[in-house]
Amino acid sequence: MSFSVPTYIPRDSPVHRCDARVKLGLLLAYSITLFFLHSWAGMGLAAVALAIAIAASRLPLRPIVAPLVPLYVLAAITVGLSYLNGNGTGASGWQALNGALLMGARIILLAWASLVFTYSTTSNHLMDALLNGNGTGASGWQALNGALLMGARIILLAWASLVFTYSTTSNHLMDALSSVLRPFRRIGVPADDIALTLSLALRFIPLIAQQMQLVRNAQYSRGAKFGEGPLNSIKAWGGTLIPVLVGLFRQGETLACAMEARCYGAPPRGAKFGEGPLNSIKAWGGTLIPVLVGLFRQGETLACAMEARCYGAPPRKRGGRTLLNRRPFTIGDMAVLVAGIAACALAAFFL
Amino acid sequence: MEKAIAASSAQSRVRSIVFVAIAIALTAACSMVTVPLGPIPFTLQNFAISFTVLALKPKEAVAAIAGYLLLGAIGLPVFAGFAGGFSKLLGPTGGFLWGYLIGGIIAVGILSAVQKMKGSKSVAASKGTRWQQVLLSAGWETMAMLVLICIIDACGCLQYMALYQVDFLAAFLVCAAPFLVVDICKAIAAIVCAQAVKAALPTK
Repeated sequence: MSFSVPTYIPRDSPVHRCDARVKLGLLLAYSITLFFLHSWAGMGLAAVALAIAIAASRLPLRPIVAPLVPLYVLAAITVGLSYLNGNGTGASGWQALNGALLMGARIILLAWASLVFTYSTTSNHLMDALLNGNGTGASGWQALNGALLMGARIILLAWASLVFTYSTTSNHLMDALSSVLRPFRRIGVPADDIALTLSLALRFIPLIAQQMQLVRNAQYSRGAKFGEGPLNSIKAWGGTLIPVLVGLFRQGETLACAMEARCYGAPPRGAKFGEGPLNSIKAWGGTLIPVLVGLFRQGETLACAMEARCYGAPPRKRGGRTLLNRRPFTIGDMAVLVAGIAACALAAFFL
Repeated sequence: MEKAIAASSAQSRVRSIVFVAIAIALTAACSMVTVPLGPIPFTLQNFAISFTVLALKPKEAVAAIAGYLLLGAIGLPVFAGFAGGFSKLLGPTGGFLWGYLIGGIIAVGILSAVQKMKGSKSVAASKGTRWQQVLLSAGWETMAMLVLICIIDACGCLQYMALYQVDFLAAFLVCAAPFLVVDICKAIAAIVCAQAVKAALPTK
């Protein structure tokens, strides 16, 4: 499980050429539609629509499917657990005999659920089911069906948003946001600033990810088995905690030295290697503080550079910012957008 | 003279834009990475939010949190586990996301109110030693962070309650209780980091 951040993947395809505003609108419509779909026919239709979009975008499948591995595992556990719970409410003979077995399975699953809690909403659903025993009180098949639908919904939505991210440059996204917000400028909303801020944020995500990748590499070089199945990954996280922390601490030291050489005072850190949460917190502090300080310094540099290029100078014509190749909203774009939203609305209404 | 004033205001605007952007990106990046400390792995999302509230100016902090939610709401994968989309905000854990904004606004309000109060006081009588002042300010910041955590958890629990039809205790046990201690640790880490960044930036 290498840490990667979804960014633009250049391809020459209809999806890439499509106006970012249209894509944005369609993605929004798609996500809301998924929320309203409660039948497998509807879910199948949504999946087919997404498959067509992926095929048309000529994106490789791997970056779409790969980053969501924890999500798949979680969805599988949720489905299994809902099934177990659904049978549990029946209180039939064999169920009573296997009660102890089920209890064991539940405990293991609960532990696992708490491990992966942060990954998605399904784990919340899962823990709810564990604590309440009967889950939502539905019968076995209904519970299973509901869980499967929920899993499908989450995974489809995640794929769709990844397709959007991969097929849209941040420039296009910025222009799209800026033009969507333009009408609000009359009531004093700084549309261009908001668009710029958001697109800068998108640019910074890979930068921060790079910093964090450095941290992860230090862990990897000390023998942590990331990327060999979820179970191994969890083991790797747990079993190599101490070398990992030492690695982090050293990196923090290096960074701190670099910062100190540039005359920045960081709060004093006890230079003690060792075990225990206190030291690990110190180690994280040692890494995070220099990273954060460094980031803000980079931000200042960027601000200076932007100022030197007259960003925010008193506007001469309309708007303070020069837009590169502003795209007009064509009839074709409008047709695609309207058709897509109509399809979504129909699907949400009928299925 | 007028030119100089205009330039400096423009620069502060650029700085605000860049800092807000960094805070958004930091929150997004922190949401994608899980850190195992003890039995429960967690994302650093809360840490990033607390850090944003503490390190940025009041308006910038609120703008950063709102911008983060906006990026997520239009479907970019910036929430925990590469999730995104409007339905995430409406889903079982969506309350926590709204809570960031509401709690952020209130915490920022507390901090700026304290700042004003202290500002007028310190002009009148700055007799306390530097240590006392630092302790006092960290105390207020800790309180603001506690308020932030409470509001985030309350919002999260309320939405969870509404969606799953459970009582508050059950929602609290599932959503908030396992993470309270870690949340407080993250808040303390955020305070330390924010003070370091503030100290390193001369104009702050």
